[in-house]
Amino acid sequence: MPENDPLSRPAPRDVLVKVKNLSVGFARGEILAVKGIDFELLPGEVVGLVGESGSGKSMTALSLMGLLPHGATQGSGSIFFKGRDLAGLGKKERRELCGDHMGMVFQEPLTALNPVLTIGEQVSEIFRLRRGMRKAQANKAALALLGQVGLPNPAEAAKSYPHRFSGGMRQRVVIAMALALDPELVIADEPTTALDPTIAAQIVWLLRDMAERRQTGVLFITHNLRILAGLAQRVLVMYAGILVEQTMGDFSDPLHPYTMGLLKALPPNPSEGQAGKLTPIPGQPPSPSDRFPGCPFQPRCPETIDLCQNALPPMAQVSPGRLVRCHRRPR
Amino acid sequence: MNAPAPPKGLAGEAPILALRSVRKYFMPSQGLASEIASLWRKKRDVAGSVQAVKGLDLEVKPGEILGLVGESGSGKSTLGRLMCRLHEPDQGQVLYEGRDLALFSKAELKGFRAKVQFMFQDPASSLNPRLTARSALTEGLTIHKLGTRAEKNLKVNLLMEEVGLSADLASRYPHQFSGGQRQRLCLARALSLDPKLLIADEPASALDVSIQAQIINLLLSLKERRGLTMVLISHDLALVCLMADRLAVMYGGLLMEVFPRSLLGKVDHHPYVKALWASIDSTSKSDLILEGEPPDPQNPPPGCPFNPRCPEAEDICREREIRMIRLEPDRSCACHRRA
Repeated sequence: MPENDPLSRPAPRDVLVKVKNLSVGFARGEILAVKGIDFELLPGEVVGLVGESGSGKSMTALSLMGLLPHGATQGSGSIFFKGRDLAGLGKKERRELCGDHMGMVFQEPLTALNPVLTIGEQVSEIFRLRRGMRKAQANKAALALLGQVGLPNPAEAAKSYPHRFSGGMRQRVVIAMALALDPELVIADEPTTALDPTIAAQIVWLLRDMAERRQTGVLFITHNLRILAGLAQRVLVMYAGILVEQTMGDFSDPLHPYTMGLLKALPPNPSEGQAGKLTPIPGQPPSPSDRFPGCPFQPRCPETIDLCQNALPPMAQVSPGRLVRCHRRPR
Repeated sequence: MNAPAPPKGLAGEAPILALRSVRKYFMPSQGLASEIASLWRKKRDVAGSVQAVKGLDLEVKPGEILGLVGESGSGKSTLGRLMCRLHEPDQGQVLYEGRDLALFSKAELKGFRAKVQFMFQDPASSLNPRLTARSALTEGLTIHKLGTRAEKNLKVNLLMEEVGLSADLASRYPHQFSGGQRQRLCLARALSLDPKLLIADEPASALDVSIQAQIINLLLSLKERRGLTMVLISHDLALVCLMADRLAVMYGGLLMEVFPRSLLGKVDHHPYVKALWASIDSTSKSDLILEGEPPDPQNPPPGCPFNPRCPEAEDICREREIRMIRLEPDRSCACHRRA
């Protein structure tokens, strides 16, 4: 780790990431993908972030990494990493933060890897550029890392190009790269969505295992509620750019009508329920360009009252660690 | 080779579609030189090809929903395409109402295509971007010379209503619809010729959870109202269990187990079925999570295709090919340990 790195000194605060009133907009803020969200992540904690497409979950992740796509800008709000405001960091400092302190696992492992470099070159590059290792030393470190993420034959794998690998193996490589510099935070954006169920289960286990062993904080973004059950301690539910609920990882007691609706819309685990019809949430999520004064879920909500149309409910604490944004809660 | 003879004494329940020892090969692309060489030889070199479907027997009974479950590369989509003759089998037969499709005349095949419809996974790419909803829905009617213009327009309105779209939207183009609406449109198009059998390839996997449930309920109610027979292809065991009457689980181009939904969890399932079940949520124990990867189709393992990942594998599994064995009247399983 570079000695002049201000973040290598432990910060006095316990909170790893603190997001305050973050918003992300397109087209000069005309369209808001994220409309002011707040959350915290503690060191070593696995937090799930769920939401449907367009809910702003990926934009939240990308703004944490400082990787917002062209045209998207962070509007209001601030992100603190180990007590330090990321907005105050220059380009170079921000770059040093990525990799050393924050790693990212992308949804599509094929596009996250460079097709013209071998796996070994891509993984060892991290050690050469960021740790100043010599080639031989970096290669050795890369092989060890590839072994840790469960590639059956690291030496052989290092010599191969990404297209030779299956989706699951590629995702292992991407996880290896995200963890290479032992970051305190890994952001995993839909890491299992492109994978088959038995392979997705392996990847979830790998992430959980690696995070536990290295005490890495993980922000696990997914639209698959089931996959979080044994993984996340806390889940944040996002809808139309805002957080509507913070609940337990296994969704054992959902409070917000949207969370409840999502769970009912899910095909039941065959061991629990017998076949029958699902209960869908009527209608569709709003478009990011829609503006409304009230709760964004109100047009689809079965419990809506007049107040819901006019005022956005505040995020209210129901019990320690459990928050809900609904006029009808707590009942 | 892979299945028992058709059951006796079930004459009343003649299958609407039956696959008999169906095999399908694909040639992996090996570059121009070898392609020219194979043209020269004027025959297909089966040795270098990939077997996507390795000789399997399966029947679709009238009025049922048959769930075809498997992971990518298992051959489930190829099988679905064989069923509606988007692919022709390299060996074996596909029988529609007892008659071999290969012997159908051109006119008969056209009639078959109206009665067996396919719904593609990605609604965005399976709709022509230049056709309005109305044109997409009337295309089939025009090809089959059904109805006058006024009748066709009426039919379009009815179809759109049936799938829960307002008839006012008929003049819109696909990009003006949301993902869920597009999938409804695809469904309306598949229904436009009043098919008997609908083959749906991952009908909901491109959609968000709340929209997915709408499409699934729609499929279920249409099935009931129209008395449709359906083949549902999916990698999602929870979804298939919700919808299907019977499940057929594929792995490495072969059927591993075929069983009625009502038996799920009540019998000693094939180890792959158990693993799929365990992967539904992440609370299951680590010892139920499969190690390894599905077999390389170009280089499948000897014996049972599942043996390298199977927690119960024995020597016989690595040596001898598996066969479907009927274990119960309506359940068959291809496993040496359960034979």
